[in-house]
Amino acid sequence: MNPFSSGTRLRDMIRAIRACKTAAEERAVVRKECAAIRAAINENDQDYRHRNLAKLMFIHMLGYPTHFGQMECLKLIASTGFPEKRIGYLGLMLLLDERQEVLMLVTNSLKQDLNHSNQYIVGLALCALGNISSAEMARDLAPDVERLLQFRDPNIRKKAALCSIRIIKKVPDLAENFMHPASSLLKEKHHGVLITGVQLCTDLCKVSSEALEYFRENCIEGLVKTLRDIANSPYSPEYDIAGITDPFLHIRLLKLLRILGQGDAGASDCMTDILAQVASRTESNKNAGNAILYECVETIMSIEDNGGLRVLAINILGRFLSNRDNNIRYVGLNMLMKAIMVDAKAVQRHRATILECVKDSDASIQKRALELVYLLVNESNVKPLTKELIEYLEVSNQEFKGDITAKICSLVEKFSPAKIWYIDQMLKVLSEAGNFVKDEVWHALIIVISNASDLHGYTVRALYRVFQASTEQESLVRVAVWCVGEYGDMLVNNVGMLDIEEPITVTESDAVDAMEVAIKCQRLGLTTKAMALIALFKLSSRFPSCSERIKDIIVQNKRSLVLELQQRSIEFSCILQKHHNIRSALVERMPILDEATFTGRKAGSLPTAVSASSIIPCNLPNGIAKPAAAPIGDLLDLSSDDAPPAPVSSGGDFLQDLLGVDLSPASAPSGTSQSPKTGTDVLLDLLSIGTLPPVQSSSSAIDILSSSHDNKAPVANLNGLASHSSLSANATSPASSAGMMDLLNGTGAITQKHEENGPAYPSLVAYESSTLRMTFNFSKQPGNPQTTFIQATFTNLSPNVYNGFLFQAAVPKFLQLHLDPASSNTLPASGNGSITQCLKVTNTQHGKKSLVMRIRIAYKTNDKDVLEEGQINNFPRDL
Amino acid sequence: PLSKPAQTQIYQIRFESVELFVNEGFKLSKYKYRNRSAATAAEIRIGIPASVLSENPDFYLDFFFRLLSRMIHFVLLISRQGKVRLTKWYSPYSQKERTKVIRELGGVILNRGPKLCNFVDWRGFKVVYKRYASLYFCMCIDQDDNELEVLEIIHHFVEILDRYFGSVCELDLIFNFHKAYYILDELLLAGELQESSKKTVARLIAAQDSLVETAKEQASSISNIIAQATK
Repeated sequence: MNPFSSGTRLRDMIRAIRACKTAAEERAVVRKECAAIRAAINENDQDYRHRNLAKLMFIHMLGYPTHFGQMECLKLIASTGFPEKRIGYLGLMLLLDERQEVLMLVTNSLKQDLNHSNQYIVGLALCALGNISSAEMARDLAPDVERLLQFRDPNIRKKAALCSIRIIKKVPDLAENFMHPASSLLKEKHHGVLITGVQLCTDLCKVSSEALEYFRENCIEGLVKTLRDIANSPYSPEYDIAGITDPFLHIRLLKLLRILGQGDAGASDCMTDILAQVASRTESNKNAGNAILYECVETIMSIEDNGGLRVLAINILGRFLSNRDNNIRYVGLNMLMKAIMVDAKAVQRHRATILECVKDSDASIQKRALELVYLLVNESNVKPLTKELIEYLEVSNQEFKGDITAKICSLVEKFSPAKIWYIDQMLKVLSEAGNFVKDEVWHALIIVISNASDLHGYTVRALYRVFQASTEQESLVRVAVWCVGEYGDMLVNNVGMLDIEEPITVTESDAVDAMEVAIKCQRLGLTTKAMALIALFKLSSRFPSCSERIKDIIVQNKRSLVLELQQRSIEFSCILQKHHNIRSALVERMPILDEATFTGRKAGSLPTAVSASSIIPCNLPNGIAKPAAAPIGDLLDLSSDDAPPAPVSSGGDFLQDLLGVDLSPASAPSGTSQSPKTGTDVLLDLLSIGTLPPVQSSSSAIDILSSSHDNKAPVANLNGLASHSSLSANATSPASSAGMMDLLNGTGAITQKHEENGPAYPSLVAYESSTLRMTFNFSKQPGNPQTTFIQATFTNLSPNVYNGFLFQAAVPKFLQLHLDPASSNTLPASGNGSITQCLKVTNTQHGKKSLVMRIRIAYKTNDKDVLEEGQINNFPRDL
Repeated sequence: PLSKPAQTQIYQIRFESVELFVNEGFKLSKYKYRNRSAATAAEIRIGIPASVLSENPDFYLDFFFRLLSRMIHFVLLISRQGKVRLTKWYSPYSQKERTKVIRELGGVILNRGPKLCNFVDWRGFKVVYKRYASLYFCMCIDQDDNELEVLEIIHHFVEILDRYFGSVCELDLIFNFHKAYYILDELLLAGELQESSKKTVARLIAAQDSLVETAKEQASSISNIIAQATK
């Protein structure tokens, strides 16, 4: 006898485990049991195999590893007796899942058991197959299961039917084999067989249109008759639930009828009578009855149009909505969400009740109702509904605020009838729940404000008011700070007063006070403080009377412990003291931000937006006249900007650099730190706002640049707003820092570059990291504007040789890409040579969309595999 | 994405149909969903025209999987203390995912108040739960499934357990957990309901129990004979 074998019974083990007071004790008991079981497995102990497996299952349920017992399941299944097989199959289903290769070994036993003379053993095998079969097993055993659909005992037939569902889900090609046996199951009287047979037919319809047609032609009348019989059947105790005979069968029949009726007027006609009967005569005082009604409503809404029935269905939903049972209300909301696509008007009638549900105390109901309200909004009702939602926002609990804020912002953005209304609503949301607002929302607000030139004064004053009231909501503070920086003069002079406004007296020093508050407030984050600092810097030229005070505040921040603020204040004060001649140009008001490029950018990040709310009413008939803001077809077409195309390699890069887009910590050393520490270096730093998120940096940088390069500003702002474009890989090249100096000296570096590049397409540093640079040279054949030949040149910037160099590229569907072999796969170190590779790109949407490309570069250096990836979307526009 | 096979790609999506290429272990299976309603439903669900979906297939894949398989994904019995009393997985979940699911759901469900509805939205699925004494019975279903019916199925299961054990309690399910599994296997298969008659389930379980009893008696009588013969 094995010394470890405790020989305890299952019951004793469970008791011992339950008696444990601590997790450590429990682990000890389990460890001891597992050791005993392992020992028994090693000894190939047959007497206690089933007991050991039962113990393992319990241990498994507690969450301990039990993989060592998997083979024991197979051994038990292979033994002859029913008890062993029963526990073996149970273990198989519990301890294994379909992805384990061990499972393949059981196929043979399963096949034998499916043909066993004992029907209970056949049942066990079917059950296991149905629950965990993989595609291979399904393929191998499908003929046996198909045969069992005609087995003499109904209990095997029903198991075989469900097993077939698993098989056709795994291997849809097999669907046709099951079509005829499945349809004969529909004629049975045994409820189990009927339920499973109907289910099988439903799933067959989903995977095979042939099956769908077949059932439509041959089975509808039979199904309608079955449903009628069951609905009219007298009390039968075996199947009765709350006075209804077999609601499960009801529901499955309704489901199958739904699939058959969808898109087929004839089939739909056949079932209208029975649907009307079920909808009007089913008792709705118990859950079972409501479950049937719920299913019936869905079927009515899904089959081909029948006005009378739909009225009946919508009325049932109305009743659901006013039911006191939370479950019923929940499913009512759920179904209304689907009904809205069929009959939006009818759903609108329940708007008031739905709004009440948004305020329910049950989070599940709140969430559903909010989604439904979101779908209900259209141009005509956006104002009252938004008002309701914002009012509710004030009292809603914290967990729900995020959801509701996101929905309000999206609605306001989509349906806003006027800019002033949009701004007003956004201010309300920001002051109520600004901390829940996503960055792109307040970015969008700033862009709208920038575009509404007649509302600048109004907005800045409104923002100033709410800012004075509270600085709790950070994104509100950011927008306010930005606006005060830009439009501070309008705040003070009451420029552009609207009739609805109350006059407000703000002195210059009040405005500076406000910025000082933002800088000094402990709660506010670095980004906000940096924005406030920039705003102050801007105000220094707007408010000459306060410039001394502003200088003081900036000087105070020279001692800031936060490096970013410290550096910035040093730079700013340097400008204030030494560079009077350029200051006023640097701090001029920003050019109007381009809405189109921003929405284009947003389209690029669309997938995340989609995941945030799984239902996006793109094509819902609730009166959305406007198409979705961004053409989704442009998903990859990130560079759909209207910016001047030419100076991409020189000026464009240079601007990006300025904006700090690429100065993510990783690439920062490659650019800036290499340039000599001259006086201009300070400015270079100033303009390339370090590690800050790019948006607020763009506000300063663009502004600074705008005087000299108004026409480039859209590019700049575009890049600034695109927070995480992989474009950022482009690092500062010496050329661009030279350009910088030129700029400061007042010579037009960019135009100069422009000319140098000549009439052909400029070459482009398409990708650059600290270790590698890739340059593209473009050419086209005359007469074939769609096709571009690109010569890619790779240069190694590191001191190590790269081996096994491999460049890969991917393009969206509207482009075709052909890659020629590379000139070599070894890239010498330190730029002593290069690899060239030719690409041919054909743009099927030439003139409409620009090129865009994802790249991946793999190589080996110092025996390490390196993978670099990036996206190129700064191709010249007209390629 | 829990139920997503290891390597999957959407091969083609047109308005009228959905075709998936699924790499299942060693073999590549092609899944065709030719009916229009699946594609349209997907379109409505995702809110993006089907023609565009093909541009970003990975992202939309999960939606399709949810859309195309309507069933019970798993059954979970948790005690009020958060102890697992029964788990049954009808969709593929790795061991790690299972632990995570149980922990996550336990946290959500055990913390819900008593008067709230019995449904929880969870990772794009719905979990229907019901409390009986100290036990929570949970079933995870797809977004479009009938929640009210699943509540009935849970109740159906509980009634069968009740009949089998004679007013069932948590201890019955602990010490006879395997019996609870046998009953569940007679009730659900492949994530679908198998039998709507409580009597039939009881009869089938009883018949199999008696098979086991007979086998045991035989075994003990044989060992008696051997014991006597060797004396």
